[in-house]
Amino acid sequence: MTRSIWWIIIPVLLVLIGLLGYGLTSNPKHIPSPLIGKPFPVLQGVDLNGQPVSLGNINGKPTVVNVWASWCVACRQEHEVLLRGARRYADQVSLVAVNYKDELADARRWLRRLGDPYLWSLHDLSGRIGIELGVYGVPETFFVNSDGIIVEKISAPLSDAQFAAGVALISKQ
Amino acid sequence: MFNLYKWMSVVFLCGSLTTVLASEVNEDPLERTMLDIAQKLRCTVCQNQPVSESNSGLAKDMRDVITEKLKQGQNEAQIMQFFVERYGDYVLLEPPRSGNGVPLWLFPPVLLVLALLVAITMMKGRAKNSAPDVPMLTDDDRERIRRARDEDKAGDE
Amino acid sequence: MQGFSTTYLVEFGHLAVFTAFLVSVIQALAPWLAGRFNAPALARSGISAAFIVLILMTIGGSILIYAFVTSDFSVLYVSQHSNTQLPLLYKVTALWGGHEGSLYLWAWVLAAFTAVLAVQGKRLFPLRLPVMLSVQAWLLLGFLGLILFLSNPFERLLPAIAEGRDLNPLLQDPGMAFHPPMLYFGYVGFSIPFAFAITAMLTRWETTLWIGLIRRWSLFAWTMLTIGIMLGGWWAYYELGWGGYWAWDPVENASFMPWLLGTALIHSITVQENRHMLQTWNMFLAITTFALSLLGTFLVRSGVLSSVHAFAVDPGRGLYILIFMVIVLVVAFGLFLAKGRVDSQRETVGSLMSREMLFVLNNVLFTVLCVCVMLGTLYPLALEAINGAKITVGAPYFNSVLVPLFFLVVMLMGFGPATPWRKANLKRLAMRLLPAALIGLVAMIGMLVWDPTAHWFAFVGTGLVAFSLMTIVIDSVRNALRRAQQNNESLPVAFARMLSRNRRYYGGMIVHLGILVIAIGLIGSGLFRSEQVVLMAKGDVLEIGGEKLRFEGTREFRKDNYLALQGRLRLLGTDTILTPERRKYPVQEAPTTESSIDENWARDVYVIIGEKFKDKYSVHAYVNPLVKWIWTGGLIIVIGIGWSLSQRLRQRRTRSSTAAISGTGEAV
Repeated sequence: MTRSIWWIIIPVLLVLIGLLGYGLTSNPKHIPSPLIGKPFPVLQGVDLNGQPVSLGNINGKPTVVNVWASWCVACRQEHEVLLRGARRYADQVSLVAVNYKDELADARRWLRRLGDPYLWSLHDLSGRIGIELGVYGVPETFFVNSDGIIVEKISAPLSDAQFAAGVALISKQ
Repeated sequence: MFNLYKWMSVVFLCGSLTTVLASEVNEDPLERTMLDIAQKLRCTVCQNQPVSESNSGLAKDMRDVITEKLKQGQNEAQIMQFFVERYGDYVLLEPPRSGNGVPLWLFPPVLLVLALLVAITMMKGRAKNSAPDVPMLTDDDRERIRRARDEDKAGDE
Repeated sequence: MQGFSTTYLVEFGHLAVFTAFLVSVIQALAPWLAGRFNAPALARSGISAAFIVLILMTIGGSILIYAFVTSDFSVLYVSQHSNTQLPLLYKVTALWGGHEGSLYLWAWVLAAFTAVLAVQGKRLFPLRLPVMLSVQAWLLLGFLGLILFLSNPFERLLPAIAEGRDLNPLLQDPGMAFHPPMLYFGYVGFSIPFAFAITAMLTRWETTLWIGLIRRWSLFAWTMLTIGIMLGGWWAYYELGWGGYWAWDPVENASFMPWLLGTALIHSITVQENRHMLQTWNMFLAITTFALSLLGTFLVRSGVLSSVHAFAVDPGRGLYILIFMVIVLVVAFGLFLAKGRVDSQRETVGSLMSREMLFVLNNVLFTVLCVCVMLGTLYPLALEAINGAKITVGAPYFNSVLVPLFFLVVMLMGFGPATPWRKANLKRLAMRLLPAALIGLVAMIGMLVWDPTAHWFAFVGTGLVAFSLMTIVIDSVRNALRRAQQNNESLPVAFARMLSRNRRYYGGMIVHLGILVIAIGLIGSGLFRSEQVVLMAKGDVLEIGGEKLRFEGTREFRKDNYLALQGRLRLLGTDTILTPERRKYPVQEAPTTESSIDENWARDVYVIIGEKFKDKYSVHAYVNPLVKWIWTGGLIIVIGIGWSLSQRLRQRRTRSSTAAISGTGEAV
């Protein structure tokens, strides 16, 4: 064994340690979405009041699509942010939702109690719409610009700052 | 008593009929194809499980989607493509052989070849003075050994 | 209910562990202090310290176990992992059912092995013992620091709750109860060769003087690790219900990596003893094997990787362990860089075709295997760090990459015993191996004919395994014959005496036999499995893998701490009844499945019962060929190691030519 082997081992060790250190800061559950940069799929469905709706480009306005459910604890956390955001940015963006794998009665009751910031919520009882969107947990939020392109996807409860940043991103086009 | 015999033979007949009529179940081939595909997909909300094994809600939904698409006539490649477009390469249980997965697949064979080369080259370098050829035992040698061994044994006793 | 006495008892245990921490500081600093103050007696205090630490850790551990057994829910850890309805055995094994307790077990075993080392060292290497104990103490301090300050099993829950949460149902199982201790014996066992290596570098201790000493420790640690891994696989097989035993999950890989290097180490030590070479390799292997044990600890407890086995995520603890690991690695490899190029090598590989060279190749192969496992495990993390992309590296990758490498290992296994030391006469070697090679070829063709559609792993694997098996058999019989002829004994007597007089060698051959038996099991169950998922009503018959199963009904019952739904299926032909269950544990709420297995040497019939659909039940059935061979192979390995370790250096009339000058006389 010659000394030169060490010039392999030392960098390997450094890389390994650096990697594990990085690993501590990363979240192993987070999955980056391949849909970013792609057009938002056009998906037909029915909203919570039985009216037919279509996800996709809405009046050419930038859209925020929020995926929520009444059984999701973290969604409750995020709801305040959405209520504020809907009011503040009403003329800049449209806020719509997908109600994911929820009973109609539970969903309606939840919105009645906590407030409804959405233009409408597409009722996705089976979860198919969710799969079309690559949803793997709730809540998730898509930011779609006026061209219908998904610019950003947040797979965690939104904060006011994130909402504002997202709106800025999709409004400037 | 006559009634008893009659009753028993009826029961016996019915019993044997049951064995004859018992349905032999077979796996639904569609379900088998679905499970084979599901086995290649990773459940995105689970820790390291294929979709075929997971009990989570999302995995069940994914299995249903696969079944629907199979009924529509799509093949395995199309269905895998569908999920990759929405969930990324992460949803594949086996890393892709192109793009992001290239170093992963290339590294082991390259490493093996390199390591063997290094080992052999280093050992070759060291074997400067090659060991002498192994001499074969001649019959004389064997005789000498046998004699010495017998003497040794005699000495022990 | 528990009263004052238990309250104070737990605090006393806590205090004992804290004291152990302080005493370990003394043990760690003893040699340095002795040098500084020129007081040799101070160095010996490290020895007493080691025993005191063990006593204190045992007090702490016993009190924890007592808290479990008496269901003292004022101890937070007990309340999280136990329950008054829990059977007694599991109340005890619940000690290592969670992060804090299993860490405590790690430290406890470390303290115990250190004490054994102290006993051994007092007799065999008293001068260097303080330094060795110091190394161990530093390691123990790392763990005790984590335990006392970040993961304390003695933490209280006051006021105590009336009933605990219950042990994870998956762990309420004999296989799972003993899997962690065996693994920890393995991981901690490798700390001893590590300590030897570090001490050797610090005190300029010639390797030939201690290499024999670490042989037994390494074999012991390796065996424990093997048993631990096999228990884990066995448990996963019958408990988890997916019909498999190894998923290449990151935590499984974390135990496999030290096993791979440990295997290289135990072989490499043999070469060093016999031929006085590979010293640097052994230093490297001794250090790195233990480093991988620490890496395993990190991976399991830090939440860095997504895994079914991971303990509760806590980056704070992960950071601590990472720092601890970094310090150990930097010190160990730093020393190695500075002083690791050991002794002038007296010997070297004489010819490329020699047993020495094969051992070098063996080391290389196992190191490559280990690196590949590490690559696969950490690649997702690395990729994410580089460009944010996420991919999954699952079982298909590991199987594709590692199995061919293992084939090379099996081939080496066949060549090794037949190849002489120093230099082989190629023609003679070829003649010697020809019969086995022919049989291997026949086996390969046989497999090809039997199932041409099978994966190529099946043919190549069968051929190589047959080849290696035959080399062992032929070699042993040939040696026995020669002995019988020379000593005028009958063949069976000669065989028995030969085995008995060369325990190290034939123990090793038995272990190889065990590995090959496992390989046969892996080929069978890995490549020829049948699987079906069907809905069955009463009377339905399922035909699978040449077997027939008839569904005969279900029943429900309550037992211990769960409610069960049991299905009854009759295996037509042998008329055995299989009874898979679905159990609901009221406290934990997650239902578990209990598989039902009918096993024989040819195949396992493995059945799971699922959800009810109208009046039918979902039944998941597998036929896994040759699985029993895997567990049997494991048993053979343990027998082989036992045989090997039972070798006593016999009195010989001509001692001078004995190769291993380990300076330890009869002790090895």
